[in-house]
Amino acid sequence: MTTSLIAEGTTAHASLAPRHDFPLLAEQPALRYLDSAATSQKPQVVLDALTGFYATANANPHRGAYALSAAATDAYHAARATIARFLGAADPETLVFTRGTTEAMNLVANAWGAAHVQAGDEIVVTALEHHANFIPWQQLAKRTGATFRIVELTADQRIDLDHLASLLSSRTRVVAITHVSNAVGAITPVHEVVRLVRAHTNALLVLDGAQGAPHLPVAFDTLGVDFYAFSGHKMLGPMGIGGVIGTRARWAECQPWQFGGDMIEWVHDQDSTWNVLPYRFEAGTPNAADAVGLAAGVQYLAALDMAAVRAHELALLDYAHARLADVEGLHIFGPPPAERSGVLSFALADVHPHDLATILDEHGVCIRAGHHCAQPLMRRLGVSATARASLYVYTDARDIDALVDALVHARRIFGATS
Amino acid sequence: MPDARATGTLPLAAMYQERILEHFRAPHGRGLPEDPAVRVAERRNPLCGDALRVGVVLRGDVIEAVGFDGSGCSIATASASMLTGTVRGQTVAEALRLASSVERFLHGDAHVATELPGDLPALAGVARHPQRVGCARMAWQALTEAIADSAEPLPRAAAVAQ
Ligand SMILES: Cc1ncc(COP(=O)(O)O)c(C=O)c1O
Repeated sequence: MTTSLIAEGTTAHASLAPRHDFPLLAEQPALRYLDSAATSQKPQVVLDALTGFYATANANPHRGAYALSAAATDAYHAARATIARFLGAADPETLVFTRGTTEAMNLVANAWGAAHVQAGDEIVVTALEHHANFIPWQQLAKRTGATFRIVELTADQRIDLDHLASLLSSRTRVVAITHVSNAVGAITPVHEVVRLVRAHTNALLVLDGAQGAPHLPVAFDTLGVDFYAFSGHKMLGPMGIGGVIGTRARWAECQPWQFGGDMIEWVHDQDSTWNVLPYRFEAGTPNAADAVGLAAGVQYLAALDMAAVRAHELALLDYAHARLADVEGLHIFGPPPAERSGVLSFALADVHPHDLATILDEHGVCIRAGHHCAQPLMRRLGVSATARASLYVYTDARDIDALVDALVHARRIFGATS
Repeated sequence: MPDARATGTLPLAAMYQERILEHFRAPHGRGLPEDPAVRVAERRNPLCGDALRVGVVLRGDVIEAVGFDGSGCSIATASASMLTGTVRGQTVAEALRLASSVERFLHGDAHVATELPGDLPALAGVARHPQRVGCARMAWQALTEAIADSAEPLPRAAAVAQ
């Protein structure tokens, strides 16, 4: 087994956030958690905010005419303002909370898409998309008779901008693109995409920020897209909360998509009228506690500074590439680190990703093996699955070293020695 | 320091026994039987997208020929390889009984190990990895479906892309 180049305890490639801030990581010092693209670990401040809400402010927001309900409402509103500010949206009411990116995309596809897409229109997505930003549009196209078009990729799994440009026309009604690929980490050049889409179409431009918001600085107000969706659980927050930020103009074009409490103004016997943004799109009791938890998470990220988060991941990626060069038969998918988020998606010759994940698990290294909810991409790669290690603020060189050691061991087990 | 688990001497070795790796490197029964009466069933593992097909040819109620194709991890492939070696020549009833023993074995019932012929006991390590049990089951489920299901031979579909 190779020995680590960097001994434990040296400061080179230390984590950005102290491991002891994360109770699960502190409790399991040998655990090498390299699956943050699936979900991040949670710092103590997030857990405290969650229990704090339930211990001090728990009541149904917007409902009761008593002080406690007002406290819950205030906490929920404050969380919205904090998260909107973190994502660079000056107007917090343009942020609608959802369970996460999946629900956000279904919201946009239904609330905007159902009212504005018809037969003969075209919907454009890319071959890089997570199923959450693929199927809602595929099914919308199927329902409406619109044409569903898929932008192909370059040889290193970046969006082929020339192909994107060639698909855009006055018929294009929706362009839905990931900000960062969860499967290979490719970062979309958003400004270039915005320029192309605006130059050739009046289309709705939707960005899947599930892997963007946790890893890159995001300034919604200067991004130039219409909607930006995100998942809290991938950015230090609890599971079950996320949202979508939209421009006021585009929200005004949306129809309510879920009906019930909170989203109404008046309910008459035969018809109803709707509450204002953002409540119009948040039917039912809101997930206030998780919103409060996520607000604590983004404050933690803001204190780290998102530019520093990106720099940390980039430094670790470079370190990982240098170390992985020693591993025979390893192929890393995706563009070079400068154009890639903290994702190492790879194949090891002669070793199935599932076998890899099991061997790595025995080394205490948690990676994901599978199609990463990106079957269209897997088909284009010509594989059924890849192995994926993904980084975050608490990742350090020891995690990378353990990954490399385990991969070397996997090669030994499978008898491929050179 | 790597902990004991990282030395590869503990459960991992049990999972990736040399027996299993041998079957993986040089599987028996690769390829569906070339016979117009072949019955074929396919199993997919939605977690990884792997697909495996098992084809059987029955003469009366005896399995005269059996083979598999498709792509899978070492566990799926080794399990399919062992399957072809053990059920050839068995009656349908024997093969179904064996399939259900393997099923119990993979779910942690160590007592059935003594009933298992050939290299099948080498799959013992799989029971400790619940996420991998599905890999080992694929071939056995396909076999069960192929022999139990239809009185009619299934039409032979196009070969699964490797
Ligand atoms: C790029 C991308 N889009 C969408 C999703 C879906 O997010 P969620 O499952 O939190 O709704 C994920 C995460 O799995 C993702 O990585």
